[in-house]
Amino acid sequence: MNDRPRFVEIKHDKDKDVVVLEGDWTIRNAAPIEKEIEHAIQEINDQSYDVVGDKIGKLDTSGAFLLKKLMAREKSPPHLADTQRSVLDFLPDYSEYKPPAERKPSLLVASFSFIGEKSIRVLDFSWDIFAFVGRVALRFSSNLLHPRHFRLASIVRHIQETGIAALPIIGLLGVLMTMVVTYQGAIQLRRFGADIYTVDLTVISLLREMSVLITAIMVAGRSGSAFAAEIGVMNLRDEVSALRTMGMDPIEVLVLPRVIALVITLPLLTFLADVIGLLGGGVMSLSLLNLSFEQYFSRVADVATPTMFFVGMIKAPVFAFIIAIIGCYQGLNVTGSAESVGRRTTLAVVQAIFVVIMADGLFSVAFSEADI
Amino acid sequence: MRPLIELKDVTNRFGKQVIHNRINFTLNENEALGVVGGSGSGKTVLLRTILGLNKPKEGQVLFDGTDLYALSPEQRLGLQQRFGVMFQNGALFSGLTVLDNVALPLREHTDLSEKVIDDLAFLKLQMVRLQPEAVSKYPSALSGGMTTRAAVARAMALDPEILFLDEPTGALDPTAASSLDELMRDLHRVLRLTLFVITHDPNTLVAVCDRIAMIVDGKVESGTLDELMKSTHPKIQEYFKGPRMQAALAKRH
Repeated sequence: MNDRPRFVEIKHDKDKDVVVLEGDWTIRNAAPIEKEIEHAIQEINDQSYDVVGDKIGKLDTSGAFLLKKLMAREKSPPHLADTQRSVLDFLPDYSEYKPPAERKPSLLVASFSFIGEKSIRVLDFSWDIFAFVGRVALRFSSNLLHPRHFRLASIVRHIQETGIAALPIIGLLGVLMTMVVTYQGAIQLRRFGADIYTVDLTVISLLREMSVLITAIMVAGRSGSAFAAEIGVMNLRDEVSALRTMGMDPIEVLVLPRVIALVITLPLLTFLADVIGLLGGGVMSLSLLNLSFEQYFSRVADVATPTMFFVGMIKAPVFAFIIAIIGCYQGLNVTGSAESVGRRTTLAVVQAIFVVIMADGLFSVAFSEADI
Repeated sequence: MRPLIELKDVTNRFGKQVIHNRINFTLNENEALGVVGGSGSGKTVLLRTILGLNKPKEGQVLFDGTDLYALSPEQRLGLQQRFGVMFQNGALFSGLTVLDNVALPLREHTDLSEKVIDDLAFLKLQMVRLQPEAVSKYPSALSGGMTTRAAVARAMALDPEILFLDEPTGALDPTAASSLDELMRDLHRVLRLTLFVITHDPNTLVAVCDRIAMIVDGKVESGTLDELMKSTHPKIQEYFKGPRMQAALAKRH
């Protein structure tokens, strides 16, 4: 502590202690004043005391608050200059802030209720998402009778944003992906003298699984998050309620165009990833396996079958539907705060990728059962 | 009276649209200045220019004689702690409770103990007469009037010298608006704060402000209420001869 108190000084008189206040009692000095007040209260103990504050320089509301804290036990008013007294009178009396009482359950109860709450939330979510899919499907089928309600302009805008704007990154990803697979395949297969099968490995894995899965994951990160954040902020600013009151269904105006657009664009992006991926494989084969492009493509033609291509492609619209539905659902469920937008956007991406991979697993099982 | 903030030949343009055309403007110490002007006349841009959020295309913004935009970011931060700002619609942080909204600047800029910070924030919220139950709520659960009060309390957290308020009574019912007028007057008279109030509310102009600055056609005309009423500028005439303004003036006498 300081050698000499700068703000609160105690003088011992015969019958009563006198607390003399000095200096500027402002927010900038608040921390040292707080400490000196604590010291003074300890030193005085339970005696009664007079407070003399005429020598206080500036007094702002924070200083007045500390003064009130010092005065809390003492009823007699302090000696103050007029302007300072008016500040003191203007402020409400000192009272402690008591945070609303929270019941803290025991750890055992808390952990069980945590698990319970999570489980119920998962059940609720599954139910909600089914209901949501139902509402979207219903709206879709009722719109079939009134094609004008499909909002072509909005669909086109979303095709532009989720599809055309994503072309460069998806193309780049397609090349990089096959380069890695071809490179690893060539190194491993060379040990058995089977490096010619590298092409088979690349083509089969690319067409059946990789291109659609990687594209879907990229689109979930790119567009699923955008859907959730856009609709979420609209929801926060009451734009969604405004739509409802004007007799426009948010599902029709916000959700359907996004779902339709993504169902159109994701297969196209997957096709792009297929084509560019095959080209990338060709470049790698040229440098690693010394295959000319001609040889490479004739090998590709031998390996690749239409079924293989369609097994990959058939999954794309399904994945697109999953991504768009989850993104829009999370966006429409944003409530209250900016934090909620962040949480819902995160959820949209995480859940979309998770469900896409799960669906991919189901497809694999179904295809192998059907011997495709 | 000492000028606290001076704008010298400030021009603000967005694209081809000229908002302020070489304006000169002064905010004196201990005055309550009302800033008026039609929608889109550049009141909020003026506020943002003074706060250091919008660098003007030309001209200087002087705070206590130093050019705000020539300072280093750290120096500017030091000056900005002498400003308290209440943005339009409150701009409370939606992820924090009302109390934490007020406590946030105190936690950031003082070394007070947690307990004292909570108590001090609570006192400021009581000072603006926010109901104690509302203190631990989140901003999304507040009414318009409560949001405004909480935002004033947050602007007052660090005991600024100048309090900037952007349309404080904009979204309030008449009772809440007049009690807010009373609060602003108390803050000005008792705590001797300098006020800069952007407002559309004639009652606030009459009840709170000692001087009025009006933005017309990219220029600032300022003076007391009576001086402006005598102005011959047609747009100023139109503004002060309007029925709502007249009704507010009638109450003054």
